Amino acid sequence: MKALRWYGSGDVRVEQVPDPQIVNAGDAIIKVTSTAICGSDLHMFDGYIPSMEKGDILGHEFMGEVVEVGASVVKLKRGDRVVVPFTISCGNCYFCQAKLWSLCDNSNPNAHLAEALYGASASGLFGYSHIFGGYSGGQAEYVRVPYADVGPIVVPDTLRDEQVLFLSDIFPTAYQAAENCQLKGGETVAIWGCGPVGQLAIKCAYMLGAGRVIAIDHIPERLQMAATQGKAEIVNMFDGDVPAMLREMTAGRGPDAVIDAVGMEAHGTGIGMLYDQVTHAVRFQTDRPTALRQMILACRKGGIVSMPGVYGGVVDKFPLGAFFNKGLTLVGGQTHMHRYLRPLLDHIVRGDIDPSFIITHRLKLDQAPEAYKTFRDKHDGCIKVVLQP
Amino acid sequence: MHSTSVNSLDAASARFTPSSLALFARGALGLVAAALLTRQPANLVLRVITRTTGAALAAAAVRPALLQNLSTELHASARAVINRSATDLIQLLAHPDTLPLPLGRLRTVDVNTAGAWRLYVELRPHTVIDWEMRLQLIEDTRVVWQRDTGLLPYTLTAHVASMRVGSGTEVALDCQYRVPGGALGDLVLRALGMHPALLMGDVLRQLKQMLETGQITTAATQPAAAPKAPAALAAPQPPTPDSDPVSAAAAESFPASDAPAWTAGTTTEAA
Repeated sequence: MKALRWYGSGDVRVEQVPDPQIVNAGDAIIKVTSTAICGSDLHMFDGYIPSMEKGDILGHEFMGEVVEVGASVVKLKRGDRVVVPFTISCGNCYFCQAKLWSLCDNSNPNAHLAEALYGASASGLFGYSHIFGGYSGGQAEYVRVPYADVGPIVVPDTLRDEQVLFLSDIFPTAYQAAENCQLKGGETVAIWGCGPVGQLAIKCAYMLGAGRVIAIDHIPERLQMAATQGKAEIVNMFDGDVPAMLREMTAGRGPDAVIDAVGMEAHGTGIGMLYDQVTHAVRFQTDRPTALRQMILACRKGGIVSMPGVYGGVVDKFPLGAFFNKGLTLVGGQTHMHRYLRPLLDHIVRGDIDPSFIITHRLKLDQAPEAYKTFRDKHDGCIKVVLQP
Repeated sequence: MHSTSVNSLDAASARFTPSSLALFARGALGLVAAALLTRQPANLVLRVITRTTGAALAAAAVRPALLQNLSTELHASARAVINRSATDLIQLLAHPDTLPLPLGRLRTVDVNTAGAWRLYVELRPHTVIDWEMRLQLIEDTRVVWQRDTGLLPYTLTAHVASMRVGSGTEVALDCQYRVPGGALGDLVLRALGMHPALLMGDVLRQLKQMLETGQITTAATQPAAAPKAPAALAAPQPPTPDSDPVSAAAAESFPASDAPAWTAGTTTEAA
């Protein structure tokens, strides 16, 4: 089959590889019909995620048709059309039973690597380095899906791939980010980053009762989409001091909750950004917390900082004093996907939302290497790329 | 909060004492001296003399350290919380025929008529080593094995204890062992990937996977000899449509987060 393989920073190639096969009785093989490039795939593309090996198959946003199931699989059958969540969960461990699906104890075969780095291992992830299991990803023609009775969700044929594909990651991720803001109704939520997760987080914040949503970015077409599709107020981060602008917009108090839809490769301005760029480049810090610092300074006292953006290691100059003295709550983590699949699918079925509005590029899998560059460099108005094998 | 992850890498391990560090430092200096001396010109006699001198210096420095640490008892441990009863787990650990082998690098266990267990461990692909240990004690919450001969004598203890919070049983494997060269030998074991903490951690992690899910998690994309759960300790039944954990989770958690006021139209209205 054809698959997109990682060979190093900025180097991904579409190559022929052996087809996946059933290994455990709980596995299924999915023939991928649509797959997307996630913003967090760019962290690997840019070489910031450790434990990648040459030849690894990328991709964790995918859906397709079941073509084979293992002997113990009872919920799926050949021909089912499914969306596969990017987190892999066994369904039986303490954490899965506590509904903390992305913290599954059993699904990461390389748990010892994560334990060495983080003290404990989260769940395995598709196509996301060997720390998270070394699983082959979905930017391929076929994928082996472990614990197939627990993860994939069957979707109705009446819906197009593009309507349901983002159930695999970014729609539930955006929803959890908004849910973590503990909105009761009428609050102001500021969202850093108007990429795909940011755009959907705007929608989700309104879904959960936000009164105002303020979107922050510097890419004109992304800000425009946030304003037109998401009905958010927009702030161009290059127009001045973002925390000061937000305080001005919120009667001096600051947003009730802030969402980091940026993650470890933040951009910014000024000497702080220069410092982050240099220290990141020489690996004095593994992540650039430029946006996170702004959020902590901008958020109102007693507010919530919600982090769906991916961080991998350690950061420098974290404003712990501001965080502490303002009494903030910081909440993050990979999405507990299984909580959200069915309810969000119901919203799509009812026509409440169509997440496909974020798609700007529809390409073939063969074009993936160029698509990665276009997406990373934000050329050609690129916000979301969907690939078809 | 109780951690439920297998934590082999945090295991207590060899400790260097100040005196042993000083001895190792002397050894290292000897090795450096040997290396420098052997960079002399190509005169054969001179080369033989300098290399012999350097090697002797290094050996003289390292030898006391090795001897000093030979008698040091080391300790390693690994822990996991497994969703099984303590009784089940003791039964499983005390009877190798019920273990869902292979686990980690432990391939098989043979028990002879005298009660000795022979372990077969895959050092690396296609290289299996074996050794014997003896089951010493079985209690309600503890199993003890011992090996008192050979290069690596050890006492291995498995403790089980029900969790105070939540379900499951904590399984702790503790190994008291001696290794030639003491702390230095322990480092060699770690470098070879044969450290007791690593081996026990792998076994425990995969035992947990087998007992909780009926399979050992793997990222392999090609067919492999996936171990099967023994009938006596079959894996949890796969979910039926009536007991689907995803449905249950969604049904219980989602309404609380799904603002009833929200409909497709309110997005625009709210803005």
